[in-house]
Order: sequence, then C-alpha cells, then structure tokens
Amino acid sequence: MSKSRELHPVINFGLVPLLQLILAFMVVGLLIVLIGENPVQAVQLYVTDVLMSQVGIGQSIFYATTLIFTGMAVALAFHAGLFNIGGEGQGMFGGIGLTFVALIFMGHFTGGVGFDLPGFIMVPLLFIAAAIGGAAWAAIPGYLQAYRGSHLVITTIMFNAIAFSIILFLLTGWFQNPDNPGDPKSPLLPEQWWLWKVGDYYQYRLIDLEAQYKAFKDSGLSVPEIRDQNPAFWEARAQARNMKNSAANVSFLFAMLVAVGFWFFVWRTKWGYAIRSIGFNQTAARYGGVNVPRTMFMTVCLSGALAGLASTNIILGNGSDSEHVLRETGLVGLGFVGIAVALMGRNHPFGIVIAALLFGSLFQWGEVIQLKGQFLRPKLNIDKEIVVALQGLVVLFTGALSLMVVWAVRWVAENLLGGVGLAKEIETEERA
Amino acid sequence: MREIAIELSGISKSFGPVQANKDINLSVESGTIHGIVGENGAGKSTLMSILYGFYMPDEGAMRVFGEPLDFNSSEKAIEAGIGMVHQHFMLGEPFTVLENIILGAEGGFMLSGAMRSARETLVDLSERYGLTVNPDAVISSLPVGVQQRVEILKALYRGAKVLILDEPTGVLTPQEADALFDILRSLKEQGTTILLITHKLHEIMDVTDRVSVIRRGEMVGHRETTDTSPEELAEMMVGRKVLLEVDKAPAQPRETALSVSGLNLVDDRGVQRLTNVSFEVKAGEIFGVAGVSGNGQAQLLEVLSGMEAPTSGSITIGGEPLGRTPNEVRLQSMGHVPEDRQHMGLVTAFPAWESGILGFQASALYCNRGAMKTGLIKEEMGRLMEKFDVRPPNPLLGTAKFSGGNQQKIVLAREIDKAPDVLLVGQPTRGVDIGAIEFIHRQIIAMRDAGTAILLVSVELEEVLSLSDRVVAMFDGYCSDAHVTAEMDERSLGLLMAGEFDRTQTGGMAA
Repeated sequence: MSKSRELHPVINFGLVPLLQLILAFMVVGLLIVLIGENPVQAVQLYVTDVLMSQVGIGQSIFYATTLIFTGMAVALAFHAGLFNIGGEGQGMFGGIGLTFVALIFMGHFTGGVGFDLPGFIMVPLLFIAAAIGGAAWAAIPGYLQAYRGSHLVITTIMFNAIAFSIILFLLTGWFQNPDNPGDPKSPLLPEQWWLWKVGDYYQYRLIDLEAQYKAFKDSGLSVPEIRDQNPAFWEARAQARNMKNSAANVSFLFAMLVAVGFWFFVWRTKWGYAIRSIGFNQTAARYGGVNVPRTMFMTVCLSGALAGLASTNIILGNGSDSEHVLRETGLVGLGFVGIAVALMGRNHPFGIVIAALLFGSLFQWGEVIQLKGQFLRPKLNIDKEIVVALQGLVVLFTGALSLMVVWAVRWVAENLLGGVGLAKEIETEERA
Repeated sequence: MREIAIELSGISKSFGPVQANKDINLSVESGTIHGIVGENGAGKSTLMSILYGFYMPDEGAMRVFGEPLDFNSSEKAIEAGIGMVHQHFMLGEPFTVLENIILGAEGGFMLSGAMRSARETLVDLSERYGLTVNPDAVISSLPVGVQQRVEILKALYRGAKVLILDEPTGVLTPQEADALFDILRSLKEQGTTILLITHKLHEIMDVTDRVSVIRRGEMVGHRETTDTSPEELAEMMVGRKVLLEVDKAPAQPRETALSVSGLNLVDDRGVQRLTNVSFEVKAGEIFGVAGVSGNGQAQLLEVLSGMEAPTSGSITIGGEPLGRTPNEVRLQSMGHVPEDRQHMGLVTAFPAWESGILGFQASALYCNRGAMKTGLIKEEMGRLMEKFDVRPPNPLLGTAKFSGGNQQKIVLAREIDKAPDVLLVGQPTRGVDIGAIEFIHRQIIAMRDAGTAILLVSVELEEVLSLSDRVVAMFDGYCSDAHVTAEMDERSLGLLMAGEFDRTQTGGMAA
C-alpha cells in the first residue's frame, strides 16, 4: 500500500482553492439554468463588468476593504478559539463612535459651535474613534465569555440585534440630521474629513475636461463632431464621468497595512503566541503562564476594534457624495460576510485579502446583475441575491468540503501523474 | 497439543502513512494465558481492536476455535466467544453491578425477568471463578480493582471463552494487581483462554504461559515464558540491549529547597483534593511521590507550579513564599515537566520551536518588547534538540509529528536547559519507549547530581523505587510520611499506595 503524502504548497494553496471556486461557480450556473436563465450571460457580465471594468474593479476594492477588516476581526478571535459573529454590530458601533466624535467637532451637540479641524488631524482621530467604538461593543460579550463563560456566539448574535436598535434610536434622535427629520441618518460629514478616493482624481480631471468640452461647444462644434475629431478627448471624458464616483479609497491601503500588522502580531509577538496558545489548548496556555480569561477578553476587544474599523471605509470612504453619513444599515451585511472571508482565507491575512477581493467582486457582480440585467437582450432576470447563494457555495466547497478537492487532487497526483505535485516526504524518526 | 483458540495469519493494518500492524501471525492455545508485550505504540492495541472487530484489517485472516471469523463487528466477536476488558472501563457509573452486567444483553422486553436470571448466572460465575462482588453495589462506590472484576464478569456473562485484557494493571495497586492475577489463574484452570496485553515485563513473567513480542507493528518472536527472561524480552521489544536497572550514586542532599506544610485544596465542585499535605524536598535529592493515578498527584503538581491556588497551607521555595502564578513561580527558578505533555506541556498544534518556549514566551531571553526573537529561538531550539537527542532535530516540524518519547524530550529540554533550582517532574516516562526511558532517567539523575531538588511524581512503582532517594505515597489526597527509598520494597510501598498509613498525623516530615 502506498503511503499518502501531503500536496505541494503551491498546489495546496493555489490550485485547490481555484478548483473549489470553479466548483462553486458551476453549481451556481446550474442554479441559474434551473430558474430558466442563461448562466453564460451571467458569467459574461462578471468578466466584462466586474473583472475587466475599471468601475467594477474599483467597487470590488471598495467592498473588499470592508471585508478585509471584518474578515480579520473573525480571524483574530478564531486564533483564540473564539467565534465572534458580532462583526455587524461591532461595525455599527464603530460607525457610532466615529460619528459621535465627528458630531462633537461639528458642533452638532453644541448648537453649531465646533472646531473645523483639517483632515490630517481628524481622520486619524475618527479611525481611532471607530476602533474604540467597535472594541467597546465587543467588550461586553468578551467579558461575559472570558469571566462568566457565556458563549460568545450567543452573546454576539444578541448584541447585533441590540446594536441595530441602538443605532436606530440614535439616528432618530441625538445623531439625527436636524435639517431632514424624516430620514434616519446623521448630518453629512464635512468634505475635508472624507478619505481620498480614486473618484476624486477623475472628478478633478473632469473640471478641465468639461471646460474643454464647453470650449469645443462654444466654438460651434456639434456633439458628433467633437467626438469624431477628438477621439482621445472624448474617451478621457467618458472615462472620467464613469469613474468620478469610484469608491476605491486610501483605506484599502490602510487595510493592507493592518493585514501585515495582523500577521506580525499573531505570529511574531508574545501576545499573538498567547492568543494562539489559548486557541489550541487552554490547559497548556495556563501552564505556560498565560492569563487565559484576560487574553480572551483582550482578543475579543481587538477583534471588535477591527470590525469597528470596517465602518471607516463605508462612512469616510463612500463613493457617493451624499453618503458620508451614518446610516442604520451599518456595514450592509459585510460584517457577516467577513465570517466567510475568514473561513476561506484560512484565518491568515494573506488569504483574507485574497478572499475579500473575491467576495468584494462577487458583491459587485450582484449589483451589476441587478442593474444591468434588465437592459441586456435577451433580458437577464436574476436577483442579486444569487450572490448570497454563490458565497454560501464558496464557503461550502472551501470550508466544509475542502478535503474533497484535496483528496481528488492527491489521487490524481499519485495515480495519474506519478507523484508530481506532492510535497517532499518529511522524515519522522519514530524511535529515540 | 491443545486446541488453538485464536489463530491470526498475515494481519496487516495501516492508518494513512502509519503501518500499525504488518503481517502478524499469532496462535493462542486454548486454556493458556498468552502475553503480548511491546512498547507503547508498537501496535498491540490495534491488533486487539482488530480481534474484537473494531477495525477492519487491510489483509489477513482469523480463526476462532477453528472457525473462520469475519472482522467487521464486535457482535460477531462476542458470539464467537471473545470478551474484552478495556484499559478504561466501560461501565455505567450510577448503575449497579447487576445492571451493568446485563447492559446490552437484556434479552426480553421486561427488565425484571432478565435481572432474575442474570442474578443466578452471576452468583454462579462468581462462585466458579472466585470473583466475589455484590450484585447490588453501585459501580461508583466500588474500588477500581472490583470494577475491573465487574468488567471480567460482564465478558464471562456473555459467554466469553477467550478474554482479552488491555493493560489491566495500569490503574491498580500492586496488591490489587496480585488479586487480578489470582483470578486470571483460576479462570485458566477452568479452561478460559486469556490474552494479556501489557508493557510491564514482570507481569508477563509472573502470570503467562507463552509470550509474543511486537515491535513497530511486527511480530518479532514467540517464547515459552519459562524459557525467557525480562532482559531478553526487553531486547526484543526495543531491538537492542537495554539497561533495566537505573545506575546512580547515593544522593548528596543539601539544604531544603521546597517546603510544603499543611496543604489543602478544595476544587470548584467542593471536592477535597489535597488534605494536610506536608513534606520537604532538599537540593540534590529526588523526592518520589508514588500513588495510583487520581489520588491528588495532579492537583499537587498544579498547586506547586502556581496554576492552582491552595485552599490553605504554605509553600516555600528557597525560603520564599511560592509565587501565585506560573510566571512568578518560573521566576523563582522552578521547572515543571507536567504529567500530561500533550494536554499541558506542549501545544501540539505549534511547531516544535514554539512549543519549546512555552512558559518562556514573554521572557527577555526570547522576546524583545513583545516581538519574539524567532531566528534566535529556532537556532536555540535546534541546538537543544541535538543535545537532548530529539529525533528528528528539526525545530520547524509540528509538535504533533514527534513520537511520544521525543515530545517528552522537548519538554525536558525546555525545562532542564533553564537549570532550575527545583524541578517538578510528573510521569516522565508515561507512553515513552524503553530506549527513551533510559535517556530521560539519566537526565533526571544528572540534574540531581548538579544540585537540583527534584520532585518526581510517577504511577510506575518501579520508576519511583529505582529513581527516588526518598519517597511518599499519596492516597485520596493524603500524603504518607517520607521514607528512605532504599528501605522500601514493592510490597511496603504498595501498602502505602493503598492508603495503609496514619492519616491523622501531619505526615511527610519523618526520615
């Protein structure tokens, strides 16, 4: 009987997830066929309007930014053996913390008397406020888990519901925009505190381009004439108009930095060591001098802080000029999707970034299917919730059924390729 | 020649890359006691599980009293007359003896009829084999030795003609073990065939007629017990000559390093785990704590290492009161090799280099303002692994990938390398093969000779007797007076382990 060996890391971390993804897509394709639509058309949309479109990529990155934070929030707790599914509520509280500090400086609570500080001071402050807000909301379930043994899953689920009520309460009262009392949202944050986004560049360019357009028109050219005589100008203007709301913003880079910090913290510091040790074996951790309840508590707080930071992207980095406000929708469900991202990313920041980009693009795909499907000929009548099914299948194939693909690939490598793609065998001497 | 009760031919079984059994042939004559010895992990238990229908072998055939038997179910094995007494009893604790015996063999719909006939059978069996038990006693109220008798009766009640006992003496005092062997002998006289699995050679010499030795999944030989010796069996088990005696000079005890007085511990559930435990351990001696597992030794180690706070009593180390957390205790130069390396001493999911700093992860040795000095740790670990003969000496390998003996060496390396003044050692050779036992014993003695005070907790009687300079026994949370080991033998220490000492005294301070 042949000995089975591990797969080569490149195969294990490259090919296997790809195959799992393809499987998930195939099942969704089947689903689309079953509801009587054309799966090829749907996938075409994914390629043309998400993967190969500037707007699509920008939006994907925007969603991914939020998902990197919520994914890391889940992953950090997971390393301590805890399942924090309160990312949604903690994200809401991140937003509440951020908005609270912003409103103070805007003079919202003091009859308009505030401090109009520049962005380079306010933005870091608002980020800290978001982190503290998320951490504070996680602190209570964290305390209950660490010192009272209440299961984190149960308490964080409940805290999501409570957070939703609190945010509505605030948005219909203390935090509400006085100029628009019918709408549960906060006043618009001042523009100098918004994050720099890709759309800003195009908005800036558009000023020149529109001036030039006006000049063309003033010189008596008709629209088709302008287009035909200056194709380069015409295309640049079309692109700028298209991209001026692109929401990909600097917090994506910040998320990447945090991801690197996450790696260092978890695998290269004594705190990460303590967290992982309680995740694997609490008795051994206790033996090793780790204060288990305190470490647990701190981990859940940090996890909440990461979820809280996810709100910065949605509030300060929003693509739409009128949406730099706190809304009752919080993280629009991306707090929950963070669980799937962490699962697929195997709780490693590198994996999480990749998974977040994938899930972000799927999110955008859902938007495109919804918006554009109606205008296609023939019509593509699919609800954007199909993406939820796809996300579920991705989790199924990369999580619960992940070994299925691993076995299949290993079988092929062993029996058909004569061992190509397998890792070197590690010598383990049994006897001393 | 007698009838062959069990015949195995060409049995092979592998679990993934591990070949647990390889082409095993075995024939057991009916009405004999047949011993199977081998190191931990040699494949004894796998073989017995195959016999009992738990595992399906990859290859091979089996005959029971000449009849071929399928391997796939325990029910068929029971039908064919095979009974198994597991190392860990399979008894319903709140049930009575009688209820346990008919469990799974109730027969009819109503319980009362089965109970009545079972009672008769049970009384009959008890008388025939001298297995006296009260059928109406509740299991949890019975001593371990009697619980084991119930297991044997259970098998006999189901018509077992072949009885397999898997490490039956692991949980028994020497006196209880002797009683068990008497029972086995009388079973044999009545015609029962017995397969005794153990890694204790003196038991084999004591009670068996024939013995088979397994090494690394392979049957290396069969011997008539009268024709062999413990030395030969040990050599067959390990594959080379083994020193069974521990070679050590007399101790040179100096000042008291660890002093425990009036220690009490009541656990979360209100159970008194330690009662008035007092003793002193001197620098340069090995202080043995004997006792059957579960008599408070684990709790004693937890308290001494700072993991658990005592309810009352005082502990001093080097004259100072003991710290209140494992970290504080480590700073007082106390090392601790825990009883259970896999659940306490190591994080098996970590690579070896990370497990190798457990407890020292925050010390300035390995950590600079929170950031671990990974390069230095790996280098250091590689050096330590060479020094302690850990195989393979690869610090990047996952801790779980090392064998039990090598895992134990990683723990020892970590604790001994810090040259502590006091070293707590729990079950240093549990689940460790004979070759590694020698090495570990030598390391402990070298520590003692270097002036460390060593507290050795072990359930292996031979280990305590051969390693320690002074010895106490623990029973039900009580601790006996200390005795000079040289004046003790298996019998006298066995009596202490069974609780035959004065528990009203403070204890532990004599000798």
